[in-house]
Amino acid sequence: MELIKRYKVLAAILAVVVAVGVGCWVYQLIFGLTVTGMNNGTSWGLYITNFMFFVGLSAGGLIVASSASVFHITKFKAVALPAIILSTVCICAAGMFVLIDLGGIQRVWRILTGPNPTSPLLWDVCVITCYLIINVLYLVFMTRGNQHAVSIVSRFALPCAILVHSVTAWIFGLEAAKEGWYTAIMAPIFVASAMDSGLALLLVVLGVLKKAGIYDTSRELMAMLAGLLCTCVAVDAFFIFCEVLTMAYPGAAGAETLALLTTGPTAPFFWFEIICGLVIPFCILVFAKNRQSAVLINVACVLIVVGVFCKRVWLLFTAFIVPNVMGAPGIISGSSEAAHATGTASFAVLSSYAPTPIEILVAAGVISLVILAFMVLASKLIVERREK
Amino acid sequence: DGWLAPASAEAAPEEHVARTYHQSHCGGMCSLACTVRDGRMVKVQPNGVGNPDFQTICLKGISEVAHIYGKGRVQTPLKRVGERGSGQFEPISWDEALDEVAELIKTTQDAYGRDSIMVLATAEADFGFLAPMLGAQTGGFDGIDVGTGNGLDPAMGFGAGYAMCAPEARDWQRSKLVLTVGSNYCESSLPNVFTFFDAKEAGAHMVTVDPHYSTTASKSDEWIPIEPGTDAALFLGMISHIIDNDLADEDFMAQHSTMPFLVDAETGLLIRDHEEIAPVDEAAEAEPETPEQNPYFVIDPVTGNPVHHTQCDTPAISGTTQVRGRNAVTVWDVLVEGQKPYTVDWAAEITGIPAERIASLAEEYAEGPSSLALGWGGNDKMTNADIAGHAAAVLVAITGNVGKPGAGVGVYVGQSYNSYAPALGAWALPEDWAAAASEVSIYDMPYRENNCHAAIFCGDIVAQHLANMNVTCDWADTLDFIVTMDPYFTEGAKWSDYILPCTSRFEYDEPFGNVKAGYSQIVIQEKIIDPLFEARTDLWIQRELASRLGLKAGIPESSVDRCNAILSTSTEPWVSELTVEKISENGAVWPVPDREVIREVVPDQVFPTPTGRMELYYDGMVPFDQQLPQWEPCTEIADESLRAQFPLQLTNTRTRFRIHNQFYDSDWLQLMYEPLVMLNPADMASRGLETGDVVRVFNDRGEFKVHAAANNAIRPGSVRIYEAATADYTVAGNLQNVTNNTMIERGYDLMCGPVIPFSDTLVEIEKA
Amino acid sequence: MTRLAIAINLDRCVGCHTCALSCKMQNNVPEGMLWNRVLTEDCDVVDGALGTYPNVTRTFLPVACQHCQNAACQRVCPTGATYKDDKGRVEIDYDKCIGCRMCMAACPYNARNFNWQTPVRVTGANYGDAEVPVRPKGVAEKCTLCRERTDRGEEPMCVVCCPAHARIFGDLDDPDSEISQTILNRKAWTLLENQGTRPSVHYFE
Ligand SMILES: Nc1nc2c(c(=O)[nH]1)N[C@H]1C(S)=C(S)[C@@H](COP(=O)(O)OP(=O)(O)OC[C@H]3O[C@@H](n4cnc5c(=O)[nH]c(N)nc54)[C@H](O)[C@@H]3O)O[C@H]1N2
Ligand SMILES: Nc1nc2c(c(=O)[nH]1)N[C@H]1C(S)=C(S)[C@@H](COP(=O)(O)OP(=O)(O)OC[C@H]3O[C@@H](n4cnc5c(=O)[nH]c(N)nc54)[C@H](O)[C@@H]3O)O[C@H]1N2
Ligand code: SF4
Ligand code: SF4
Ligand code: SF4
Ligand code: SF4
Ligand code: SF4
Ligand SMILES: [Mo]
Repeated sequence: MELIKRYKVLAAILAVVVAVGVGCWVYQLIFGLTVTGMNNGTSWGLYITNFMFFVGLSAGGLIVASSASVFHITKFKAVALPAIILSTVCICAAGMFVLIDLGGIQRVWRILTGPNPTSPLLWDVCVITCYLIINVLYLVFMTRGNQHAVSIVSRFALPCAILVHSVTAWIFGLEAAKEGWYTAIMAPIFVASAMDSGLALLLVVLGVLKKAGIYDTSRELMAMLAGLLCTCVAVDAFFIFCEVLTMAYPGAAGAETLALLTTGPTAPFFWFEIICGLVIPFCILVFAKNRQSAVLINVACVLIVVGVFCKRVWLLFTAFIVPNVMGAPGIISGSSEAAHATGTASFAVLSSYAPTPIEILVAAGVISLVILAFMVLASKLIVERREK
Repeated sequence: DGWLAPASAEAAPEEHVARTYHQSHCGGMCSLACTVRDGRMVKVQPNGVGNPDFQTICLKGISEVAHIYGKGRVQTPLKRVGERGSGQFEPISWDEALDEVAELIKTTQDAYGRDSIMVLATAEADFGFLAPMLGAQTGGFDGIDVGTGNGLDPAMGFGAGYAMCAPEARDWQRSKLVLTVGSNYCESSLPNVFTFFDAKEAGAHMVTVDPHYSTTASKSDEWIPIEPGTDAALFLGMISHIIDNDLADEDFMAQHSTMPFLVDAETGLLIRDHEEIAPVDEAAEAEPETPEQNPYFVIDPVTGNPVHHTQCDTPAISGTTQVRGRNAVTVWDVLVEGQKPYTVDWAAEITGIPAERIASLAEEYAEGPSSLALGWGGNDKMTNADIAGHAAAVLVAITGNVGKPGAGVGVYVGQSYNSYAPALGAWALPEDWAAAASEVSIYDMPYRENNCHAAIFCGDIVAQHLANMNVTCDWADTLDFIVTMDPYFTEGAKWSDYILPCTSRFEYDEPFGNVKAGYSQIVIQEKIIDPLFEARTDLWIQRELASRLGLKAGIPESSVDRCNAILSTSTEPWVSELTVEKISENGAVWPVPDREVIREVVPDQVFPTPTGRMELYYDGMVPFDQQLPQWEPCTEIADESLRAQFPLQLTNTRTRFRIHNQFYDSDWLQLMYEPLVMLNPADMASRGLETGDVVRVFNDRGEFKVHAAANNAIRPGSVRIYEAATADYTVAGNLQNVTNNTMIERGYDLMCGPVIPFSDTLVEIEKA
Repeated sequence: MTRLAIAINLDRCVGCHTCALSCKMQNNVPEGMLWNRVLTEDCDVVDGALGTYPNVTRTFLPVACQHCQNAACQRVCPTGATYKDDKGRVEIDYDKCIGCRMCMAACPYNARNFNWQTPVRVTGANYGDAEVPVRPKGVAEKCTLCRERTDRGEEPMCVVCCPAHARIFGDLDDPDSEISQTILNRKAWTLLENQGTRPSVHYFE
């Protein structure tokens, strides 16, 4: 518990946020999801955004660590440990967000007793569970120094990481009902943004660990990872370009969605991601000189992480705005409390959503818990081991 | 053995079904089967007895499951504590309320006479004993729904001034053209809307003339937009086209109308055999001479000589002659001459309908059989409504589109009125019980000396029955006391001193409440649930008041007795044999025999007028030059100078979401509709308004505030609002604050007195 | 086999919302929810019109669950809570519903309602058919094709109550039924055919 002791104040603050988050979640359990901003029109919100986001974030670590043994990129081995810890806590966060989003968590065991094989959610639950197990095994074998076991696990880890992102993508990408989601490129996009946001987060974390003197990553390795990140950003941008072009070109329904994306309520998120999440970081990282600068790397990485979060936002919400069958009075909110409305205001012709303080606090709680968990694991597995 | 009773038997909730009838104003009076579980009404369905066409219901009936328990109910007797109109009341006990009201009635009547009390009840109330028992006045004419009928019904000889002279709407199936002018049948006759589509599917050409793209317009084969308040001009233009193109049905006119009757060319009066003989005694004065006693003159087509109309079945419709040395022309000739300015082009100019369309419509209408479906909510609510009604009568007469299958004229709205109506009897009142006459009608009370010192309103008279509400309220404030009796807390109730809570249709304190004639059937009210809150039945309230005034003997002791008296005293044998118990066993409805046969009017084309003909020439209107319909624009909306100040005409119509002031408090219906004023997007834009904005609607009479919505269905220059938007449900103020209460002079010589021109109203709208 | 369905005559539909409220009553649908909504198609106000005065049009479109043969909601439901029953109806087993709302995202018609809170009813008590199960918070619900009524051989409540006689109920698998005949003769269509959901609910004019 080295780190907790060392960063008492931070840990205390995080603990308080976790406690508040848990309190809010209990409140949500009692009163139902009406305490969120979700409604019948936009039936997923901040929780599912975060779910997508954290699934992605967890990728970078595992992919870097496992490529170390699978592709024998020995240099990467140096960061495998913090990478896996990061990956583990992030996937836990993702899982927590799914569970928190459930309206009937007390019936969740029904997935086991009556699994429906055509449900992408079912498969996502399966692969995320596998992924979590792999992460844990990886950690265990790595800390025990069992290199052979590590190399076996990493062989499963890589495809599993790809699969987690793909299946998560398919939760959305297979829904023909949502023009903005229904695209074959959804899985590649998810993998690409997982790679770039995950790597970026890893770099940020490595930077922090280095600064704090907990874990030293060589400048050279950082630059190398930054180079890899730059490639990922380019790939991500390319996929998004493919998708946008395919939407726009026929000038049909897709173009309407695109118009909404570029000028509608989610447009700020779209443009932030394009400009600040892709273009600027790419321009920074593409120059080898910049990759030598810790500050510039950090700036680029933070922008990428925030950019990918914005991408989750526009990806998720744009598809909800315009119902396929349109007309007044529109979609009924489902809960007069959720929409804070009665009478005709219970309906909305176009759907909208804004997170409530409860949702934000619950999400903050989860994120704080994840940071705390990271601190604990880093203390146990990095600091204490090193001291030993 | 309670221990041994099966648990499931205990768990099963007690559930039973009872039936009652619902509202009449919507045209339904639907018999509803209501499920009661654990003492609460949980389900309302159409009463499933008989032909499915008679098993009707709508969203309002269904909403009662929640509405009767709703926040809008008056729960206890209330006594005013604040200013009149402030809506401040305190609960009091029934005994206090009744004692005090009875005392007030006594004092007022002792001071000013029995007719100093006015009792007014709306169609839904069951307060029939009150006015006769008190010898109170009932406010004379009410100026509502009589606009068109005033002009149409004297010609038809029936319709009671309400233009209720149409056959039932099932007749439309046999029409080639159903021309709806100024009615939104698909909303205002919702329970019978299937008749509209049955006709459409049978091949009738459904054409709707409306300034706005109403529900009915949108469901018709064709919508013809018209300038508000110009229905008469459309009819006059059609008449000219028919005359000019020899499309008139001369046989019908000669045999069944007064077109051949001779008019004194100078006085403009119809020529009769002799001058009215001065009455010998008082009684004779009441009875005008019959056409047999004092016939009219026509021209014998064979001899060319004037003869009594009684002596010639098919007189010449055109010709001039002399009678008793005076120049005489036929009504037809007067019409033809008078129509000259009313060309199709002229009509096009006034109505905004293209001339070709007026011409082709006239041709199609003349070909027939055509139904001319008029309304109460369109041009009826304007100052020139009688002219439109009169012009409609002429249009019908010159084409013979009446009294044969698929042809008719009048208001088809409201099958609860407009269907086979079994003649119910009545509870015999004591001989000395009779309502007093009102020398001044209620709409004139603020302006004319009268003896009304106090009022008992069963329903919302103050806000709902009178225009220009600020004037109404000032007048109401002059009354010694006002009592309102209603299940719901209405706007008008705020001006009362006492509010007494009545039961709704679904509550009663006896097994049977009342019996009525509905949509071609006799319907009964069974007790569904016990009275809610402290509400009492209308009968109970009347009985209690009567006993405090020493009049109890005249009131039935039980409503079951009353029901059976109403049935047994009927003049129709099949009705008099019924009892309420028997009807209950039959499913709470008893169909009129032969109701499957479409109800027709004047099938032999013999009209219930004195002459048996359509009497188109109104002698009595000579002082106003309206013996035949002459165009006259609306007094307010056609006033160009006023229009410069208040450029928008305010159409107030009904909606399927409400019945007048009712159901505004229903959460379920609020979901679909909350009061708003609809404007054409152009009128919104020029005022810088956007849908959802709160706007101030105002004119010199007053103002109110509601939300505005842009709607392409609305005619530019005209705005549309559903009537009965009262202050509790608008953003602020009553719609009635701005409505027009001008009573035109001619109105007092019309059959039912002047009409309140609610929609002959100009306003301006601005962002609030 | 049986495939129960409703066909709606849009020419007859006057947009009165009676079907919406009759459904709410029959099925004890709580506040803030409707299993059946009546839309003024493509307009932003109820009773609005498309076009410019006087060249305008308006279509009323009642929308409830379409009881798709290829039901997107059923495909994505992880627990099998949403299922297709032996009468061709798409139903929800509330005991199995975990409230994940996959089905809501998947339904192209926005036919589903979620119990975001413990159901509230204006009257403070349950109404409607005693046999209709009361749903807890956290589960999805939608038109059941009046399962309880249709199981008893009765017509759905919205069909019984429609004042315009615009709704026909019957079995699509019986070629002689009124509904099958009408669909054939009146060239009925389904909503969002390109979605491939193959709805049982049909529309015609
Ligand atoms: N501005 C404007 N004003 C108008 C019109 C307009 O177009 N514009 N239209 C006019 C027309 S045409 C008419 S007919 C009138 C109608 O106006 P009203 O005659 O006032 O309308 P109703 O809906 O019949 O009113 C029924 C009253 O009876 C009460 N009630 C309902 N059920 C029961 C019951 O079971 N027992 C008892 N005791 N009471 C009950 C209701 O609460 C309500 O207050 O409004 C007129 N006012
Ligand atoms: N649901 C429901 N049904 C009702 C009632 C209710 O309150 N609710 N009330 C009942 C009563 S009391 C009445 S009086 C009847 C009335 O029933 P209707 O006579 O059908 O009257 P409204 O429904 O008001 O529709 C009037 C139509 O006339 C149009 N209009 C307005 N001005 C003009 C004009 O100058 N010329 C022409 N040609 N058209 C015009 C309006 O746009 C509107 O569409 O409805 C009865 N039925
Ligand atoms: S409001 Fe009229 S149409 Fe509707 S259920 Fe009642 S009586 Fe029938
Ligand atoms: S009840 Fe009938 S007419 Fe009314 S909205 Fe529904 S389908 Fe249309
Ligand atoms: S309409 Fe929606 S909820 Fe109904 S079966 Fe189809 S996809 Fe499922
Ligand atoms: S919300 Fe319920 S019914 Fe819908 S997919 Fe999830 S478990 Fe199935
Ligand atoms: S079939 Fe039943 S459940 Fe479905 S919309 Fe109609 S009334 Fe509602
Ligand atoms: Mo009326």
